[in-house]
Amino acid sequence: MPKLHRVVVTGLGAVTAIGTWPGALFEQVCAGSSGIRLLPEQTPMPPIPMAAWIESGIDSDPKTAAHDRATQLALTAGRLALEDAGLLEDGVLRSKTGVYVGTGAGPSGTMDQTYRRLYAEQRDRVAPMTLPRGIHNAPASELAIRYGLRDANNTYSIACASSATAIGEAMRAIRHGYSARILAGGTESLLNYGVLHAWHALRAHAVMADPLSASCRPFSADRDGLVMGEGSGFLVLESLDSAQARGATIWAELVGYGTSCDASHITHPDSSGQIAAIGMALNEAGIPPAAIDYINAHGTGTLAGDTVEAASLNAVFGAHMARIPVSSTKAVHGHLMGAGGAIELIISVLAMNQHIIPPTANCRIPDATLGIDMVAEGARPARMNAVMSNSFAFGGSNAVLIARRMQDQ
Amino acid sequence: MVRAMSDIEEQLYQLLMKELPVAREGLTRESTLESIGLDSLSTIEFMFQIEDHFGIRFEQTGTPPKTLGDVFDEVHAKLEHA
Repeated sequence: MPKLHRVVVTGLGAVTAIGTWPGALFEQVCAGSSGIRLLPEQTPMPPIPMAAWIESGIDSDPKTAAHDRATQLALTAGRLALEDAGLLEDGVLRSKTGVYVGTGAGPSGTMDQTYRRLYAEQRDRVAPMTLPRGIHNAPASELAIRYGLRDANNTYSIACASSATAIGEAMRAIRHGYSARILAGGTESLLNYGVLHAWHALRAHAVMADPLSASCRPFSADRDGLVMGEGSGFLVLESLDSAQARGATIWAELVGYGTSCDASHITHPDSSGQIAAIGMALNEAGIPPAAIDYINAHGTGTLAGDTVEAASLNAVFGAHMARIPVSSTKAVHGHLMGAGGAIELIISVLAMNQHIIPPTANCRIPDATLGIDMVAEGARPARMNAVMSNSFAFGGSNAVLIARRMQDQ
Repeated sequence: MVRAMSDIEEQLYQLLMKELPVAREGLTRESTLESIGLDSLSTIEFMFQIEDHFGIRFEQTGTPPKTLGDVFDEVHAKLEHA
């Protein structure tokens, strides 16, 4: 059997409504400071004009600004991750690096603007760059073009499991020797009029609370639904051999990936599928459930989502749930859809490195029926050796990732 | 008319600087589109924005512009006959 490679994380980069990484992101997550705010004034205003949208931190040079916002976010977070991994100065290594991107809606803003121009403004033509900007793989391709990343370039679109799947598949490609190094993550920016209307119509979106920043309340008995966010997160994944050969700093080892499909309902989650994905990730990691020290939940703040995920966790972890903290960070960075898995894995890796478990913000009435410790009281100091991040998508696709503190290098 | 021409040129420079990382000092009538970083695709996009900005339409046939001066002359001619 060919050698299976250990896969490590050597770079982290993110841009969100509550800051970047490197930057204030993790501090804001731990403080429970929400980035949910009123959308900028626009005509017409969306039905629920709030989201965790990004006010600053996006690269603004003309070459980046010319792209769709989802691509701008990817170029920003990708740059931060490559820089963090020490790869910006090494064109040869970058040329042997792949790009795996997860995005639910891709460059949806470009298409929204195009339809507005045609239907609302009654113009008779659209911008020539509409297609090159609007294709789903534009973020991955533009990252490759900008940084000369010439290995495999793949885009995954699996709703809220997109970037977790991209990271998991990248991990497999490295583990099995197809690639030595991959920039893996996701990007999402779908805070445009048409998409916001679609979420409103589905009635999964929270209404505006007072204060507005408390509108998303995962695991709270008074939860009211999800709140959209935008952002991008990337990790540089690398074989341990490659990382050691170049003396890279290692954030964590990526040890487990599980993926499954509920195959039962297009929106309602199902525990059996989630349990299968969690079990597969634990099995690959080669660790028992009791070895997990923190779970970053999918935790969207919908009743169905919270209830089914808690049932799945209790089924897999049983009595260990009494000592495994579970938090959802979506209350502060919003639901980043296809980019959520990447941001939440980055937060989980940072939690393990900084010995702080992020809280579930706005969980003002912890739902006791869930049977989980949702870290409602605020950030909690803890020593962690292994962390798990869940991403459960519309369509029934599930992706679970497990990272471990780097051992025996 | 000379003044009007320079106004048009200045507006075109401003449009261009929104799209490309170029400084105003580096732009002249003699600058080739290639030298300032416009490839065939981005030239089409630039021409589209000019059309939108001035409310004009270029012919789809004929020799593609090579320099900024070619673009300015074409815009000027279109505006004169508008």
